[in-house]
Amino acid sequence: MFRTLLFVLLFTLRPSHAQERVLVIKDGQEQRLEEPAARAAGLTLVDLSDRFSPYIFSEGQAENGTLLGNRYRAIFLGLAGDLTDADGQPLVSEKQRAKDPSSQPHNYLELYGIPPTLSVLRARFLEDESRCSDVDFSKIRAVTIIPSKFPLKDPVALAAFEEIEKRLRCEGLLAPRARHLPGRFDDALREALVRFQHKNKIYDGAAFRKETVAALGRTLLENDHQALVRVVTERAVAAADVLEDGTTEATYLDAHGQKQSLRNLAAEASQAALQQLGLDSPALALTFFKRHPAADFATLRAGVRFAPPPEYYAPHMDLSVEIDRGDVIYDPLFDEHGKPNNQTRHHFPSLTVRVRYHDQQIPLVRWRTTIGGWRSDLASNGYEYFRYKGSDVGPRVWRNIVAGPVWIAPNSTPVRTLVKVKNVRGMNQLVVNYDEVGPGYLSAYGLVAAYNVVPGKEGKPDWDNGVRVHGSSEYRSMFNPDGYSHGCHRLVNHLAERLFSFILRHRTMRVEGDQPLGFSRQFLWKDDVYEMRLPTRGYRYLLDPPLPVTVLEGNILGKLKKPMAGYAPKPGVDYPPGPMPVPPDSPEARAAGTAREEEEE
Amino acid sequence: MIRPATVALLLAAAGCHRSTDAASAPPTPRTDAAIAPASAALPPAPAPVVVVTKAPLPPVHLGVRATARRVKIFWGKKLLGATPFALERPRDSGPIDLLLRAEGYFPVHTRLYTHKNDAITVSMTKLADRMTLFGAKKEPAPPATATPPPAIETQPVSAPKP
Repeated sequence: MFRTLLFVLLFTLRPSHAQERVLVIKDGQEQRLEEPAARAAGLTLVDLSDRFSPYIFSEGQAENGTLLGNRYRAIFLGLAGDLTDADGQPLVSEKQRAKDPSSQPHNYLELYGIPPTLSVLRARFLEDESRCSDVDFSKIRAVTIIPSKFPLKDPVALAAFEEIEKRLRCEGLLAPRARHLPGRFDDALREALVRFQHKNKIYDGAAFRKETVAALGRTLLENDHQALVRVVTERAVAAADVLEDGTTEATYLDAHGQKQSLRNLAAEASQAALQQLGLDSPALALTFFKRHPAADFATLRAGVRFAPPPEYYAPHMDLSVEIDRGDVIYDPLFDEHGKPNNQTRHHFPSLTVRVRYHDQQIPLVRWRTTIGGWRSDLASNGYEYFRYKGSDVGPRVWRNIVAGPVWIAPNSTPVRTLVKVKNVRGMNQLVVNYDEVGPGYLSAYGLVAAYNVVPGKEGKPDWDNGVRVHGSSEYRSMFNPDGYSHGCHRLVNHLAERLFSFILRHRTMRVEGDQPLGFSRQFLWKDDVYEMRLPTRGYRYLLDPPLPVTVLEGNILGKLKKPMAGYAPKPGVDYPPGPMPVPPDSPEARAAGTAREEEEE
Repeated sequence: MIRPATVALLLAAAGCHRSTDAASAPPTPRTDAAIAPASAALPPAPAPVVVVTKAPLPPVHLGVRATARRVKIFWGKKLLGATPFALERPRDSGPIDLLLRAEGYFPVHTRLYTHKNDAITVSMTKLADRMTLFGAKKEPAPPATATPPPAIETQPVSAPKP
């Protein structure tokens, strides 16, 4: 009975976008326009509602008009709104809520491609306005880094550290009951620092390096405003439907033969939205949030005037992708005496998206990515060896783009990475690490993936070597000089979302929807058996025609000019007697990734 | 067993209706027209009410069987019962991580899903059959007779298939 009432209430009270008027700010005054009037006025509708998700998580229609539900969309929105966990379950249980009605945990998943909703940011602004007034931020700003050697001896660093401790506590990141000893960089403080980095989208390890210390030196509202800028940027970029973000510099000739410089359309869209909505300072943003109750953000859309897009924009664009592998080292990590081989790279892998316009190849974006390298691999004898898991080169295509992709862990994946501790109804126990396989933001394929394949000729199927271009929670692998994948080309999750959303909106494609899988397999870890069950492969889009991709060989450094086929033993491991096993040759075993391994190495 | 908060949160997160989000709409044509005249501007709208009549989703039926007899099924600390076992849960109320235990067999961790009806038959392995399981390790060489690590092969990877 209760459930029935609940459903009726929910379905009757939820408004839809179509009936909401659009927020427009004119001469400093807020107005509401009917949607057609806003559009007729040349405004683009920027979705500021809590229902926003990137285009890849929208729900499409089959060719016969059937709606193809996108199951990960609900999870994405629940995570963004601090409502649910990765399983779609409430962050706060009914019991906890009854005990402490004000308790509101946070997900802080921006680093993983799930930015907070405007409602979450609103609450953050209002809460932070009165927090941490006793922190002397100037003492934190007096340092650029804090050395990793504790206890600190430099009085300036010590004073900064004391204020950082105070800040993390009053910001609610260092719990009052946390076991932290003042002046120590202990586990409790390290955890608080990581939460701070996650909250502020700082791609770094748990250390007081430059970017982290700079963010700690800003006031809470200043950091909240930076988060708002990032969130509005994603919304504006999606609304303006653009990609160029200033990572490439180029000129091109327009239809009149005039030279034009490539614009940073993402920055233009972001600035236009922030300025026109009066959100371009922390104080203004706070006023905006005070003016708008939380309920507004259930459906809020704003009208923003964007500059017209460049003339090479079209519903179907002649896009292509080039992946440069950069410096490539095939030499094993260790020589025959167990001494490390030099693996220094100077030229790192990159992914460039181009559009062909009047016989010109215009580079729209160029982002850092990864290539494969020497990785741990589980052999048939149950032991781990090193194996070179390369990124193959040559012409490829993207035919399939999968949102909320599932990575089917091959048998060569070290078993230790396939289990994790989970609290199951109040009891911590080991379970299959579904975070790793997905769908989810920690999936080895991130939140979205495109499959690199060689198109089949004369009716033959495509050849798939298991290499994907995908978002990744392993963000440090894209910035670390020693970072490698298992062959895939990783992208920072929010950029992967932007890229594949853009491609889907500028190429002819078909929505194929959720791909049921029905996969299961068992494995032994210690003295328990784990059964992995995967009901879906993710939500699939089919590009037709496929999008061309070229993978360049890069610069081969080191002694070996070709990758090794076999295993290399790991130093210090006692292997069983007999010949070394031969690695399997399936596409999944050749190139596939575990995300967590890098944290352990 | 029913967790209304779970259902409510998921529905709220999902928007509870088939939206016409900007993200799912086709790209909007852009023009350079001026903002509409003041007459087009309206005061803030009250929250609109959309009446959608939709029946609540039916619960899902879940079933667990095993290849051994009378296997105990645990959900966290709670003993749910023994195989064969059936239960009903609210649809989309999250995955259920189960642990199956039987004397003389390896415990098995498995999962049921709640987005649709789900029934599984879990394969139980006798303790004596350890080496038949994927991931079981062969014993390393005893130290006295340990062989040095085999030499590294340097065969090139075969060229990609066309």
